[in-house]
Amino acid sequence: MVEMEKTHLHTGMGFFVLLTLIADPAWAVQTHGGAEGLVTHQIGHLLFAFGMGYLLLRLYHIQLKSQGWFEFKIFLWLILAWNFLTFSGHWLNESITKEKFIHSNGDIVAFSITNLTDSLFYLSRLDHLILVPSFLFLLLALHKWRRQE
Amino acid sequence: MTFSWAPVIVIDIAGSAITLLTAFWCAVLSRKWTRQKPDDIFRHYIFLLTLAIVLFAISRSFGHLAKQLLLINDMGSTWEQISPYSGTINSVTFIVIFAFSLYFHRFRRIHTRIEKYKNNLEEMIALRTGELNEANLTLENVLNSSNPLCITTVDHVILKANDAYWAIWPGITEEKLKCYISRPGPFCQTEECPLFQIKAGQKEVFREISKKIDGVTRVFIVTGRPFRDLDNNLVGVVESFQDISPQKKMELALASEREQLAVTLRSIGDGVITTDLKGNILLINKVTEHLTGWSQQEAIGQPVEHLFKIIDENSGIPSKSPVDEVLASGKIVELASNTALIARDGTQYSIEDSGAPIFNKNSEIIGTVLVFRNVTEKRRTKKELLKVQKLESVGILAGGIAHDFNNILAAILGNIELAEMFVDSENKAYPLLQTAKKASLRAKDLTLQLLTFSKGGDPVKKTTSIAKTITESTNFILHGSSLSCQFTIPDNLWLVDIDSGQIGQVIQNLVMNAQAAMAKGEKIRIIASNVEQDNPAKPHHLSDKAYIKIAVEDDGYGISEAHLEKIFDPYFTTRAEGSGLGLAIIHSIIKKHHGHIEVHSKVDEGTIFTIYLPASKQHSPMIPTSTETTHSLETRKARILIMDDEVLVQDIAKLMLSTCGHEVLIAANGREAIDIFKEQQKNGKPVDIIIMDLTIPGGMGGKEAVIEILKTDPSAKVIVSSGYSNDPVMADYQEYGFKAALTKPFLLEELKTALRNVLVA
Repeated sequence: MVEMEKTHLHTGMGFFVLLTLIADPAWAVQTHGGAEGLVTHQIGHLLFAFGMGYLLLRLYHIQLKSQGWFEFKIFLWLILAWNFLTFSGHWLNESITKEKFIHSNGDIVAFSITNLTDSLFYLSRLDHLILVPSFLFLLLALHKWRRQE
Repeated sequence: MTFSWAPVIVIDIAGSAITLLTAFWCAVLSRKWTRQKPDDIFRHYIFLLTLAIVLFAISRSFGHLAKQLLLINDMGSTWEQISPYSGTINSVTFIVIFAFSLYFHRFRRIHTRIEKYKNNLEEMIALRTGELNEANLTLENVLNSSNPLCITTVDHVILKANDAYWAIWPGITEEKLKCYISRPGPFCQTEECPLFQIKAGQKEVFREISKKIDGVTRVFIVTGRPFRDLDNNLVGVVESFQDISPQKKMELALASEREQLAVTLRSIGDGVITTDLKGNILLINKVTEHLTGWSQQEAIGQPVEHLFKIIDENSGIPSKSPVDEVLASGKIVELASNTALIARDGTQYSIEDSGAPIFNKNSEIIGTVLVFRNVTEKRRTKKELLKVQKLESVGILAGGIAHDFNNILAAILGNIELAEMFVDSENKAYPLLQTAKKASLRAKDLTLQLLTFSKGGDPVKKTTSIAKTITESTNFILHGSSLSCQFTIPDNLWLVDIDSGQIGQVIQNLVMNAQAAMAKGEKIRIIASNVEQDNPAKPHHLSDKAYIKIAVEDDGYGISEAHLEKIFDPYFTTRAEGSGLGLAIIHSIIKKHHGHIEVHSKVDEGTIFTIYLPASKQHSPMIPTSTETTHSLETRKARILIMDDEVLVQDIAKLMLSTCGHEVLIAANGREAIDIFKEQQKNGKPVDIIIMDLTIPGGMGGKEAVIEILKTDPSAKVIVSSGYSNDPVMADYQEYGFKAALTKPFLLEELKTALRNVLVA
């Protein structure tokens, strides 16, 4: 088991290093740019996603049957999905030009979608639609665990 | 295509707010869930993971809300400044979450192991608890099924007690009941208290206590032992109470039975000796102590031969102990009939004895028991009885021949006397007649003595003082002798109912024996005394009456032991001139007086004859009724009627009376005599005197005839004549109407005297 864990860890580390190396330098000057740095944040997302995936893998492996674990797994699936969505959003944000945003009195009022990338970016801005359900499932899982006692 | 940006903003703000709230809620629930099982490490892990996720949600939600608020308020530049911090925090939470997620499996495994250990531990605890409970239950069952038991602390508090204990000494453990309150007793608060003893270092203490339950006293043996903790420190005492009431009851019953047996054994009238297989004495009873002179303490352990010395009574040869024979045969052994026991002081007791083996429950011999009885008196009585039987035999013989023999003697003596009258004293026949007369008189005496044994010879008793009889009889014998007699006769000597003649004969015979045994100049001692009815010195076979005792003592050559037994036998004598009837007659007379005679003699030391005669209930002597005869009066001629069935007697009597000048009439029996008497009276020739035979075989005797004669003529003078000199009628003739008594054979002078006395009267 320890060897297996080490293998997973090594695989994950290798993936993050690769992402960091292939990232466009332009990303860094966007939302998570500046002092934070986009790469750092994206690596965080990947690690977050890796951690959730690892948990899912373990849960499926150990096959916990008691109440709450099903909801917890849904939470993991949703948070994993959220991670990928937001990861994609951060990534697409680097390729979205300013013209795509329609301003009125200095405020963004609309977004122009001309291609798939624009569509995906627009959807990534609505990530709470996944995040909120995921937390609700976490809440439900905790609730069930507590009620079991 | 243009899409409104408003939904983005609204969803971002609302989603952040909802996420924020949900995250807080998750944190709270997670905390609560963890607290439900604080020792569950996996819950702690989930709690930490949830906190990391919540932290991410909070940081992100706060960031987004701040961004939207700043942007709405045209403070984009501010957002630009804080945005890297918010993003960094967000990124850090990602890493934290990642880090926690990596430890999921590890925590899960640890949790599983812990759970496994915990389950194992719980199982083990449950198992051990079960075992402990079972052991406890077993212990409790054992405790409650055993004798009353209690554990007391060193402070006297009852720590634990079983049901049996509480049933006897009711109470409740929870009340910290003190042992001396629960079961107060004589040992409480004293040094005899088992707890004190255990505290003082004793390992085991036993006490006996009692408790009255339902009116019955029950006795318990208390066994106290130390009660120690795991460190072997003394913390109290364990006391168990064994009810020994049944054993006590049995013990008492056994002791009582043993006591009863011991008392019974000690009280048995026979001597009892028990021995072991070696013949050593185990037990003797009181009679044995008395007969042997050994006490039980001295006798126990001694060989039986030391104590039980037996001899052949006749030969004096020591007899073998029956113990060996009993042990050899395994059967009951009877001793020879002539066995005597020699006591420690040399006293000899005639005994009857038997020895028997003692068997145990396996029928094995474990010893012997000797049972013997002192039969000295019994054997003496038996000898006495034999003696009496011998005398009775002689008496029957004497009684049978006395009558006829006396009649014959009467004829012989009468004829000799008449012949003497007709023969001159110078005649050669005269001394021959004299000799014949003496011989006849001796024959008369012999017959008289023989009659003493006969049944008809009962004494004619009168209440009198025996002192005169003793002195007169003694002086009569010793008259002219060189011996003298010392009388010791108290004035208050009780009266006795005796035939003075017979008792006088007894005294005379005894004095004659003493005289024969003594040398010249010595003294005979006659000592008379009263013997109270409860006097212990009195021979035990005498009845419970008062007696007078007459001892005739001499210092003569004595009588050997071998002869002592035979001296009262008829015809037993050691003297050449002795008839052998003297002591036999004495014995017979004394027996007929319901008295007792015994003799103690030692060769060359002397002899003591002791007579016991029953004392009279009367205090003063009867006045003698006998009339004194006057010997000086002359006899006149008279008409005399002789009634006798014996022709020889008729003839000699007729001849004797005719010689004296009397007219004689003869009758063969009473009826004939009466007829003649009446006829003579009718004819005017009355009979002056009638001499009647007392006994007429097959006809009317004098006793009956005198009654009719006296009816005809109350003044008739009738003399009774009989060969039965000791017949009561002869002794007390006046009571029957006779004027005198004449014993056959009679001398002429006796006949004359009788006639003279009657005629004068």
